[in-house]
Amino acid sequence: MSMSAEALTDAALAEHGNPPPAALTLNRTLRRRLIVSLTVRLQGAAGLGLLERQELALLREAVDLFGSLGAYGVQRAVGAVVSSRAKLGWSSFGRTGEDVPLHAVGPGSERLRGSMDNSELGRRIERIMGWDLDKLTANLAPPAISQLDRDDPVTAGFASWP
Amino acid sequence: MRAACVPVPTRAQSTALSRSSAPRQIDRTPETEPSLAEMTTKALAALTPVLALTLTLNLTLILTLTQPNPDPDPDPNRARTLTLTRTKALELLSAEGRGFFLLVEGSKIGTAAGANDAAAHVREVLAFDEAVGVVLRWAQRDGQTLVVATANHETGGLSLGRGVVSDEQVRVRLSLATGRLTLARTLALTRLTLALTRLTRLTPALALILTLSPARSLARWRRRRCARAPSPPRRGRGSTHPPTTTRPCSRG
Repeated sequence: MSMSAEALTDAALAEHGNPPPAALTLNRTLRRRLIVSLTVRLQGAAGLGLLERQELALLREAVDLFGSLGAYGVQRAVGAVVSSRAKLGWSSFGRTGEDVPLHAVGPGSERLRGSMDNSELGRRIERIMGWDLDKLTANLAPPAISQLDRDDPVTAGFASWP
Repeated sequence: MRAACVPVPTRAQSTALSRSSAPRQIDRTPETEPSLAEMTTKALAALTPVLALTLTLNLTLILTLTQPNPDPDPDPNRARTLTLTRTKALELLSAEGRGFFLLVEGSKIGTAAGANDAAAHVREVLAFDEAVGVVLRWAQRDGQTLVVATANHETGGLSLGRGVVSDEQVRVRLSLATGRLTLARTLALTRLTLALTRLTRLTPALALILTLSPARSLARWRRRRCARAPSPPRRGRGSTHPPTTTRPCSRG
């Protein structure tokens, strides 16, 4: 496998002059041509051989939904086809709660060992660097909350910071 | 003390991938974009002359290096808030400590894993590995820099060997489902007996009896089921299930 789903999708879209989603939604011939380019690339450049019926159906579905899913949707469909052939499993399209590795080299690295909560890493680096993040947070919060932040439902919660 | 922190938003498998084991042909980052390693090299080169100054002025420089945002539709308000906070942090922290804190983020691996795009995932892991190499070489020369490589989360939940059942498992399952004492079944029984002997420290003879009795009752139950129910229709070609599980009476 030498070509990523990302590069493959980009190349197939570039072949048709990177059409906007609206053009693809309206033009059925263009959608068909895009499916053909994707199929040819998967069979040739990605080396999958002949595609199976359900694999083609998946590609067709992603291209038909281009208007709402965009190129990322096509990339996901291509990724799904390649992953199933490569016997790779994916549990989600998003972030997971799996533990992540931590590597550290240099002075202070002996304090960065073992399993820890993610926020603990920040605390340990704070100690190594000789900072006082609590003091910084106290100083930082009030001026950082602008009227724009107060109006925004996502950041409004932070307005009550000391 | 100085720290160069290098987080990447998924597994940092960089240490597991040495140059020699890397695939010969991999997808390259588009030529138009600078690679993470190039960006890191430039940032470190720019930092080096400033370092002496931070030591005399008692300052900590905080720098964040991120790749162009691959998010297809970023919220402009959110982006602005983050920028404001970051600028403020830079201002305030510069009043204490000495040296610098450089954060290099390999952000595109999250997009690759989010699309379940395995080849792009590998490409980004190698790009990150290269950037870590740049930082490590720099830190080795400097001698006072702490290098941390970690991830803020995993994305996609990648697993290997999806839906792969080994021939061994299939053979054991098939042979146990068959009533007759075939060669495969004999082998499976021998293997089970040996395993039981090892596990329970029983004598081989006792272990064989323990292994055989459930197998014999299974065969008896299957014979009884056959007498009661008529055999279901045969499955067509192309069925992925072992045929014996759907035809319980054909051999009993």
